[in-house]
Amino acid sequence: MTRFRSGWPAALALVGVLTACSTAYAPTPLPTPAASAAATTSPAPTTAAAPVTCDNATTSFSPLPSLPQAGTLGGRLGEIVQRGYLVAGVSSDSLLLGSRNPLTNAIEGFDIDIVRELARAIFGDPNKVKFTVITAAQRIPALQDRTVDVVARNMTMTCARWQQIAFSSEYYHSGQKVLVRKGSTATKLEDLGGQAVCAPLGTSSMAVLAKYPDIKAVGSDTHTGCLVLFQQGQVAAITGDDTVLAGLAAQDPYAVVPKSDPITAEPYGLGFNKDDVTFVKYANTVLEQLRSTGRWKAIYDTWLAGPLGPAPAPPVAVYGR
Amino acid sequence: MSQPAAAAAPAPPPRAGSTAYGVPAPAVPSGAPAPGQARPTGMPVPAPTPGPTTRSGADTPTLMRRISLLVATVCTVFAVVGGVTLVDNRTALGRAGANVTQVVTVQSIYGDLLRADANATNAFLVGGLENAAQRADYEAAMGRVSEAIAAAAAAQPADATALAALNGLVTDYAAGIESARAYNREGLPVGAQYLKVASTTLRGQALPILDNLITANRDRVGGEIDDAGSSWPLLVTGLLALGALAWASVWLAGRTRRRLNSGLVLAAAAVVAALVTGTAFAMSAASTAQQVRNNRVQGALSLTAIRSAAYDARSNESLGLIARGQAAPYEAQVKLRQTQISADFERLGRLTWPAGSGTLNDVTNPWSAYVEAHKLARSLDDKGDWDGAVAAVTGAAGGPTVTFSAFDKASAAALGQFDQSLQQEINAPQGQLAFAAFATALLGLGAAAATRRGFAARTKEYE
Repeated sequence: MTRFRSGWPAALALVGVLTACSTAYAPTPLPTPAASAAATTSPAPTTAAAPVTCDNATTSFSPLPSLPQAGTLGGRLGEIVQRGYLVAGVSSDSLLLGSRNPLTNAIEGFDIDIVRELARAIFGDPNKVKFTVITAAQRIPALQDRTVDVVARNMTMTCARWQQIAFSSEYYHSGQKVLVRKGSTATKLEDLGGQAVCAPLGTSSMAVLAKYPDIKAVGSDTHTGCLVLFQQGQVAAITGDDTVLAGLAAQDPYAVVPKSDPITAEPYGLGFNKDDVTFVKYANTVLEQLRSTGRWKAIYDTWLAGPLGPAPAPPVAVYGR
Repeated sequence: MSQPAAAAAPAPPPRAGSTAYGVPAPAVPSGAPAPGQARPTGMPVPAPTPGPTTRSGADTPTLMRRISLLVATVCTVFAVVGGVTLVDNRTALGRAGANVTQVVTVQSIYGDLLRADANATNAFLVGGLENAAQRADYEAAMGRVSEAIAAAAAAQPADATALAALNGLVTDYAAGIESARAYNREGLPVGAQYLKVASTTLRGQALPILDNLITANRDRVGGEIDDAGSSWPLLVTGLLALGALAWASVWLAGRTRRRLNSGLVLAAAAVVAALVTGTAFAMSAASTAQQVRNNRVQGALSLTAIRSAAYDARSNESLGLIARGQAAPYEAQVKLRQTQISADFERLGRLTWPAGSGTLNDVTNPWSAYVEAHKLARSLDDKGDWDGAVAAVTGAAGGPTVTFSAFDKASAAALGQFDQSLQQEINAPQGQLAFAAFATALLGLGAAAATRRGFAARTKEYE
């Protein structure tokens, strides 16, 4: 009989097995981390393209003899007149050039005023513009798929871009510089070896940055995105056009743009679809008038004279394409 | 336990030819005789004498004691396993209810985060100084998020790691929104970038954690409801006990020339009663749990999913306008959410709504009104009238803000009703299961005792 007592622990063990099941759950899994959208380390996509060289990047189509009447406009311009407003691809976060004023909700700046002059010429009303906010990398695709009629977003005229789109004559002459922390001794890219430097993806600034192998290039979708990374300490400097950097420095008392010679020349042109040659000629006519009437200087004085000094002479237009 | 009269009477020594009840005994020669049946017919058996030794060397009374103990043990195992199974079913129901609560809590975090984000982005859209009520709503939503994260972590240790990661991201999000707000008040465009980064972090990193939490807890609800309906250990051990009793009866009948042992019969009756009671209650609880799952749980989950999707649609409405001319990807998200919500409404329509609560129309009508208001605002922007669209979205009277608020209230009320009836209905069978567990254990132990008694009466005859 005693031998059968050993059956009891066995029975209890069975009960134990049956009751021990699943009161504690497996921990809820964490999602596998996706690549951060805020900061992307280069290589920037622009470096992949073979460099295109030419000596006429700033050469545009010759202007029309005079501005035609709105009613007589045909082609692309006729469609725009029909629609009733111009669609312009702009920046909403480049202070001084094109940025949304958080207090009034209006997008304003040097580039914006240039586009408004184009609308004034077409419609007689500078407000007949629908501003479409685009990133630097979206400028060319937006023109190609005709999401926008014109891009006025501190866009550098380059030989490579001429193969994809058309440009107006040069309307502003900028240059690439660096923005660093107050107290930093660095004044140019050569001084920033071994450090992280930010530039927007798909820009000529990023293409220049990629030529410095010592520098850890960090991309963002906009320059303001770079400023956030700069303020968070993720990058030591930002490189870009002096106009854009002046706008960033104006938002952060600890950011400065040291005086130095520009790394590159950055001629700005209004971007158009490659097929819209007449539209480009029309825009060039408008730009000629802005230069000759003093309106260009007035717009410069409104936005850029403070941070960048007195107005230079407007860039000289080059025609012959 | 009272001894049945027949079993209490001094049992006559085993004899051939007839049983104590005058029924002819099974023909001895038929088949191979068992070792104990080899005695010559009609010969009186000396009662105290130990029976002939078996092949294993044990005599009959020792064998009887062993078999008695074995069968009683099987009955006891049935009592314990059956009782524990039913108690487990009961706690599984309780855990299922707790897991549903956790899903609803996690969904509320999801909804409140998107609500806060909708407020933050919408305030940004208005421009200038933000609306005080909107800011208060943002603060309240973020406050609820913190409380709910703490409550959810306390309620389910398995969610603690995921919730800790979520908590870090929510802190980052709130910090980003505060930076955005501070810069915005200074009129600097970098504020917009902080808002964008915060929103991207929220959608790209925080919401996927919440998705995992919802999936994990929903799976746990399903697992527990399956568990609550599972009574196989009760069935297996019950049938084992019945088998053991039947075998013991047959064996005993062979040894004692008596067809039935009243103790074993009683034990078998107790096991059958316990099996029937336990299985019936387990099945009834399982069917209730299934109904609760198919109806109330489904309803609560659909409503929480609808609310989260609606908040996301609302955020994307603002984000689409903030993107200014690039609304297409945000509007695509709005459309996606609207489709999801329609599908969830269809699912809700097939359910029986809790008694005394509203109807599906109470939720779908305000949603349809909001969808119309949204469509109107969007068409203004699509026509190039951005300022008109912003005014429509942020303004009062029939606009998206007012209609969305009505939908928010209606869907919250419906969710409350589903959640309440869910908890009531899932708790209802718990009392029955507790009773069934007690009854099964008692009957099983009774069967063990009856087995011992039944064998004891026979064993005595050898003493």
